[in-house]
Amino acid sequence: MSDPRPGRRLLTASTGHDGALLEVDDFRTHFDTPDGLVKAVDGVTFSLERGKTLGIVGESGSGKTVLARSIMGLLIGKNVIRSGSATYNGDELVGAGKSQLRALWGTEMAMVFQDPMTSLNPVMKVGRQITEGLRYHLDLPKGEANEQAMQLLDSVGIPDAKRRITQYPHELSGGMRQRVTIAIALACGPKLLFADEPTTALDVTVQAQILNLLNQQQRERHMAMVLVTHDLGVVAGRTDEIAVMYAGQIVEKAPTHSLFANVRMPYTEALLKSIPKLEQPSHTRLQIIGGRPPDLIHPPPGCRFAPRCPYAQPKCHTEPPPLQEAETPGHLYRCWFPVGTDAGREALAKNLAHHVPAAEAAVTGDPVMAAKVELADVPGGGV
Amino acid sequence: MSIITRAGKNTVPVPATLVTDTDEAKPKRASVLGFGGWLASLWLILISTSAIVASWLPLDEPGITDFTVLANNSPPFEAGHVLGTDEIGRDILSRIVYGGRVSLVVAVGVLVIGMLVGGTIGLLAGFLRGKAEVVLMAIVDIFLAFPALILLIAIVAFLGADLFKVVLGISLVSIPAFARIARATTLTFSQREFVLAARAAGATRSRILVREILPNVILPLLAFGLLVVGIAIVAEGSLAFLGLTSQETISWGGMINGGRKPLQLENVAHTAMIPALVMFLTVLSVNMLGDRFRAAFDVKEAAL
Repeated sequence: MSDPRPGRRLLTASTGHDGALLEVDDFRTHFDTPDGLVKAVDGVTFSLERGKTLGIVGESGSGKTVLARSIMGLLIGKNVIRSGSATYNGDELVGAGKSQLRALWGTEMAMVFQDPMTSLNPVMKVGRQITEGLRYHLDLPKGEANEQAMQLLDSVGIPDAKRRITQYPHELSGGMRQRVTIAIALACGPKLLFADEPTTALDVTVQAQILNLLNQQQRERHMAMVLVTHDLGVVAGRTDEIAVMYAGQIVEKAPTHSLFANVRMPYTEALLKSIPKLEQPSHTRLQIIGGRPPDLIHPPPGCRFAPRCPYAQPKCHTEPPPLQEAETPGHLYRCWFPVGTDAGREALAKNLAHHVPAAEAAVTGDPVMAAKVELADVPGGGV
Repeated sequence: MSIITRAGKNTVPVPATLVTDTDEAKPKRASVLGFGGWLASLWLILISTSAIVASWLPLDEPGITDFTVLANNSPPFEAGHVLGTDEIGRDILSRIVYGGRVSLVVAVGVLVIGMLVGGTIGLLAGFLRGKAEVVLMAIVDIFLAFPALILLIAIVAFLGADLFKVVLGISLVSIPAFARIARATTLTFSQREFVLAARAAGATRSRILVREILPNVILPLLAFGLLVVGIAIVAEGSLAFLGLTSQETISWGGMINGGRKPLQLENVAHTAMIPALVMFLTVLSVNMLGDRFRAAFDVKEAAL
């Protein structure tokens, strides 16, 4: 792909080549299916230093989970095609052998999974699930491993660790189980932690606790953390940098504060708008993003968000916008008519004048209009 | 309760007994076995222990004809034989107890061989996928395509009729079923996130198979195995009834066969009926326990 990426050069320059723990460059993961090549991750570039947290945000099917698993090398199958580069501490992960990766898994990089109900082995005691890694990777004797397991449980906020290690997963609540999976992930002291929607399966009240726990552990252990989520609110206060993904690409990436202060990409704006706010009167309609994520086998030729974008102009449908830098350093976005600029305002006004459904839906919040976007999105559907 | 409070002004004081009643009625800890399950286990324990210690029990020799009894087929509680004698004057109780040995050996043998061989085949097929799965399951499907009893008769006729070979034959017939169950369960559990989590923690494939998947597969396999045991006991009985097993081995099926001819006479139904009843109760018990086991296991699954 001859996609010009002015951001890439700048990115490596700002982080320094040696400093970054994880460097991902033009990383792609495609799935070869009978229907065609599914481009789940299509040219992602970012880097992450130790002690920093990167939030990856996007709706279902945007490729964020595939990205995390693919970087780690957890995707298996003959139909998985990875290309580009992802280096951990300078070691290339793409194309690395099984034994090479196994040496990294657990001790160098670890992952916390989405659903604590299924990511623990139901027939194995909690204690043994934690000590397994310790004994296997660090060669700790049984007693020491048990001691360490209890300390870990204690550090992830599980009281009465002595009793808990003798229990089975089904005896614990969802939040507790997620704490256990975090303890397992942290057991061998990884330097890089992937948290793949760690709170999606949990109660709202527990979500904050788990996120705070992850944050606290990340700070204490000086880990790099990739926090994958579909909720911008989750990453808002807990990340140093946010990458917004859409249809397998990063469409906006910025330091957290500058992203929220200065949204450029219409998709990010739409995501932000779709979060219900406390100050809104009750029964305010939730703002939705009309349409559906694009077909990843045949993505739109221009901007991938164009079919649903309130700002979209003819140019957007034909020419893919490059990742370009905003005024604030480190803020990259992929848009021809960015939010908050004159070009963007003009484009929106033009669309409103022409009664483009996506634009009207975005401005009025009218779900009927949003539904029209959906119809327009269906091939042969039309309005 | 909620109706009363919602009524507002017309609130009726709730009788104390009502409140304490519901509070104190703590649910009894649900027993895994239940009453029927307890009876079933008692019966199985009785049958298997008596079979094991048969030589030390005060029983008549099972193979010796009691010549003091004038007529064969003497009914129960006559001439010093608790369950009577069979068509050639042998003690039925003793033969039932000794016959239990055959059923016990068949049950344990088929369970062990089926789980070991069938379980391994299924586990490997479900875990390795690809060509290994295709080849293994093709072999299994070929065996499944044969009518079991006919295949069994052929095996016994070919290999010989002693107990060891009968067990081997029945096991061979039951291996495909074990393999399929093991494969299906392995497939399900391989997809679960904890397997991926184990991989992400750096576990090797063999370690994942043995430590993560096997313990999950073995429980449903065992539950299924208990159901197969019932079928295996009947299968051995069928072979014995058809006279295809060694005539020297005392077996319930053989006893039923022996009692078949005198059935036409009057008052001698017990010769065939007692072993039939014992076999019926045994198989029923095994099935019941298998069912309870599966139910208990499923509940645990659902709670996860």
